[in-house]
Amino acid sequence: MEPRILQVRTKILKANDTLARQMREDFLGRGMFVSNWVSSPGSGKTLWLESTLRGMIQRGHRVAAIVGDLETDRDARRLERSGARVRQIMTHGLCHLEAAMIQQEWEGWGLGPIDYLFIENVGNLVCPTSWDLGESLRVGLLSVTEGEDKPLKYPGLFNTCDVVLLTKMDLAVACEFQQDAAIQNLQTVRPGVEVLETSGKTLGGLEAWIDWIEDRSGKKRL
Amino acid sequence: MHELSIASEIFKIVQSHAPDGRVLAVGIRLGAWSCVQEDSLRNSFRWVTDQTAYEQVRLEVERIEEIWICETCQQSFDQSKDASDGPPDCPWCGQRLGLLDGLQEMRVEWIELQEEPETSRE
Repeated sequence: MEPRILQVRTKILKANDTLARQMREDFLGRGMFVSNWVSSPGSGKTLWLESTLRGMIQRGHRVAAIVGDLETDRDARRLERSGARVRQIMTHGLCHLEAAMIQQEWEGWGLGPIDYLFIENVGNLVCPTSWDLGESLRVGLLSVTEGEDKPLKYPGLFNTCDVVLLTKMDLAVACEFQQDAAIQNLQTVRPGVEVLETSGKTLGGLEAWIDWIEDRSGKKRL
Repeated sequence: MHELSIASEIFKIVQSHAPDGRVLAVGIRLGAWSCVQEDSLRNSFRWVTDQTAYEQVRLEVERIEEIWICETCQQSFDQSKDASDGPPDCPWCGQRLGLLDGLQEMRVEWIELQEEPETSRE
């Protein structure tokens, strides 16, 4: 038996990447702008997404959300308070969402026309990094309670983000949050990334955030 | 434990190239920020290949620190170089317009196949 080297040079997640690319083309073809929200657990994703959904509905946008957690549908029920259509994916241990999971939810949903689909990934600063979900925008969230050095500790995930929201800004003083250092750390791992300030408690930054995402998507209603 | 998902994908790629199971090793490359823990990946690969024709396959992991993408010819190449020194010359087209990329890269590079010897020739 003779060994022979076969050059393969194939992306390990090629199957996911290929499906995600097809989904992105399909979403964009339907006029849908899809964003994938990633952060650590407890950064305030769900509260901020609920406010975002409510604000976008008020501006006349048709919105929906898919949220991933290991267990329970608690986040879906919270997000539904905004008036948006929401689906919960329970991963039962899996630490991230994959394109096929989004496709399965989307295809079985039967929603009418949608302008924005928001995907709230499983709270985790490592595992969701490599899985493209067919999104057009990856949103990272960094809460002031986590510390300004999180981007340096988890560079892989923050490196994939198109925009980073600093959350819980109402607690910044109490936490002695060094905002300049946080932004510098984000720029180190993701040069040029845009950073916005937000507070789910006071709704500070909400209108600016919705303006930003409208500009980015090229969609304005009211 | 996303390494289990990654190990499953590596196994599928190996199977697609060598469905008969005659594989000695598979070589993969991981970018510096690929977020893959190597021991966990090895254990996961053992687990997904356990009690299959591929359970003896060696997993060889090469860590790459950086990949450059040439802006001129779009070819990629890896070359250790301090990013602060600016991009290196592209080995394909000779231009010096590389962009640092590939920190997230995860690729199956090669598969070592065990082949039947050729039948003796007259």
